[in-house]
Amino acid sequence: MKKIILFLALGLFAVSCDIVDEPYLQNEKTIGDFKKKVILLDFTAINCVYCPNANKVSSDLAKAYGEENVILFGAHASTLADPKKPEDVDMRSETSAELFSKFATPTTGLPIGMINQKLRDGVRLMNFGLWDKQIIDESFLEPDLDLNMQLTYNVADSTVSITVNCDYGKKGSGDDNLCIYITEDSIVSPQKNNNEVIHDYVHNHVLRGSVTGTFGVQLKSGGADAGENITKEYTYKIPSGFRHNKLRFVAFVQDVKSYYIKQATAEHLHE
Amino acid sequence: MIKSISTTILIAFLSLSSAYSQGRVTGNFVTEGQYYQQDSSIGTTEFPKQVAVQGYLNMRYHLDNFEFGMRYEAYRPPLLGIDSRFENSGFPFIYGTYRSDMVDVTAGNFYEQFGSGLILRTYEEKSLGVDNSLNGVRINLRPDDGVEITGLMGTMRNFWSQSSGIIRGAKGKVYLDQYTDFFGDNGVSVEGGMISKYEEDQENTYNLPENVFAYFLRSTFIANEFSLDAEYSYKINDPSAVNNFSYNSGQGLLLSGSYYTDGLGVSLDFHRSDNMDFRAERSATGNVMNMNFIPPLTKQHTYGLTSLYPYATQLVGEIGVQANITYKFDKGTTLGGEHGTTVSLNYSRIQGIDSNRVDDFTYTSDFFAFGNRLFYQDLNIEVSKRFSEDLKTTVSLITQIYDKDVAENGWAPIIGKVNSNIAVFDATYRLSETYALKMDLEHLWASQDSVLKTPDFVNGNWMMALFELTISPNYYISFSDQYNYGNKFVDHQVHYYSGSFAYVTGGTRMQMSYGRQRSGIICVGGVCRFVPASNGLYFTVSTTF
Repeated sequence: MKKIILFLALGLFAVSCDIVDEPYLQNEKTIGDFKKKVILLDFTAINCVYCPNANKVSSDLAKAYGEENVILFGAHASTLADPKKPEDVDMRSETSAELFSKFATPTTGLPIGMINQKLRDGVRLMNFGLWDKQIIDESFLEPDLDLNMQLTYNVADSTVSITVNCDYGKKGSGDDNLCIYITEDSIVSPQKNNNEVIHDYVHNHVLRGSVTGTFGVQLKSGGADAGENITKEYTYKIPSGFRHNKLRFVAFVQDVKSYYIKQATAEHLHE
Repeated sequence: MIKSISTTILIAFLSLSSAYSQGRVTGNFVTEGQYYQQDSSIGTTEFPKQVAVQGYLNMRYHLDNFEFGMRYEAYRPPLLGIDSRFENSGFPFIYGTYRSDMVDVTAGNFYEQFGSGLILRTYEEKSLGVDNSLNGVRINLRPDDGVEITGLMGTMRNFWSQSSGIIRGAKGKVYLDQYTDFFGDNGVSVEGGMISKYEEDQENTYNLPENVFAYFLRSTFIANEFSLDAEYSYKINDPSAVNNFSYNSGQGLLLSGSYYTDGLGVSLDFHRSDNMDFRAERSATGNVMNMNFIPPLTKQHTYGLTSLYPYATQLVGEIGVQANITYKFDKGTTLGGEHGTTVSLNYSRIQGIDSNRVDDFTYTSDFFAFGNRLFYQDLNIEVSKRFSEDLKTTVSLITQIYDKDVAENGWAPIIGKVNSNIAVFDATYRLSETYALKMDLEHLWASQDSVLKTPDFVNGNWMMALFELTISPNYYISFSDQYNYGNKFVDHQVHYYSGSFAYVTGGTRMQMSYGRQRSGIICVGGVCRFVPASNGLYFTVSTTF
């Protein structure tokens, strides 16, 4: 009998429990103030069966932290993005293809994404279960520069005047490139989802193209000095097929060598 | 630490096997493979490797009170439908056990089940691609004839690695009828146990419980003709990917009663499951690292078309009932005829639980209330009759309602409910002492709630025929065809023909088949997985020694 009691006592000792009461979310202090914005680029595709799961995660993260803080790119790439049927909308773009070619391989499985294109422990691409932690880590960082963008839309000729101002604070910088990308919301097209196809799936944040070329244009040869203010201006003609009221322009500055995104800003196009 | 235990056991196994000639080695070997052909008419997926082969070898060495065992597995690559993360080879299962009258001790890998499995069930089922063995230590005690006690700790297999969650648990069972005459000749037992899973909280969003505790209580009463079984389980809050980070506690209840007498068998079952999905890692989904199991409350049909819409227990939440009556009409009666007739009537109905959301993390739920959404209903009758010594027949009629969105689409409103009616006629005629011919004819009528927008390879009516010739005791030859002639999309109205040949001798079985396999869900014991369509040559060899 002593053995039984001893055994039961050991069993009880091994069994422990943590009942969690409210609040269920961790204190907001554990999230930074997003002085440095975060770009979440999600490689996705209409024939990728698990991509809707990742899309939901990215949308939830943008909603939770603010769409101005977490900026989404849905980059339709890889052979899974090829339209197979007449009703499939072709959401591939040259920008998405070049990014996929640069950061992934033909056999990279989707969905997969990058947070500020940061290379961490030799890994740049990560699955959606890891995005939240990486975003929070970025949210604490102090940015090297402030970034502002103004858009002026000319309805008559469907052109957009873009002015981007880069204000380097106390710290200077090495060689940086400025990139301006365009995303489009609310594109309805079939999307594979596990074993089925969702016929009227709404695709948001679809990466449609770039103003500056995929890897951007140099801001200043040799890098910016401390306190330097650099302004760049562009005129962009919206291609036919793009719905101007669903477009968002995203400007970001990335390190030329590492591709790490240092700061970003986004503006919806309004008439 | 655990890896070093496994290595030590492997070395001990090999040493003992060679050093002792008086020991006994038992085991089995299975290999299966398929050559895949592209077949766009049935929607096969691309399979660049063309050939998939997987195999397993189990070996156990018995010596006095000791047993050492191991399993070698190779998936190069796994068959279509089996999780591709299995692609590898090695020894994922190694153990050593010491047994005496009072104590069993196992170190290494083992399988364990507490009660019906409401809080712990580890098992392997290769056809589902499930193996959630534990790697650690287990002790079984039998201090008295009527008492069993088990304690264990370990981590769970996660393909070719181990879970980050650590599982600790204990259970005890007492056969009360061994200690008192109060129950007469009846068998009465009580059983209880608890599990705690430790998993570090490494994320920044939620306040997660790192130690999740669960317990179960069970009581069984067995009289001559009656049996009653009641089991309850409880799990504290366990937010996870599967329950959308719900902080509700989980509860499970099984009630089962049966009555068997000459010619008559009646059983009634009730079960309720609420937020009882319990995994070794909170981020796991699919059939990965499940720690527990809720027994299915529906009849497990085995005929070809009856398994087109199979039901798997919804661990997140369901409530249901099942009734089964079997009656055998005696020989010589009007309905029994010369050789007797058996009639079996079965009904099951599963609905969602009645719940009301309080906030993003919690909900309330009335324990015995049925929710509005019907998940599954099955009413079926089966009549088995032997007309002569040589002719045996079975007729089944089945009517089912199957919520495809709940069972297969993660609640996304795509298909809705599928209503199906199935008729089966199965006859086996013994031509001679060695030859027997089996014929199986089936038809399925099906319609669904929604207007189908997207072509699939399941919807609509089906018919099926199977002929099997048995040449006792060694050979089996069969041909079958399933024809989805009622598919709403004309180019998907295809035949799934298949031919098979098997040879059995002693403990060895070899089978080769060629043909099409339709895409769909396969289930074993209420656990299901999706199998994509395939066409090609399949072979399997298994042997026991």
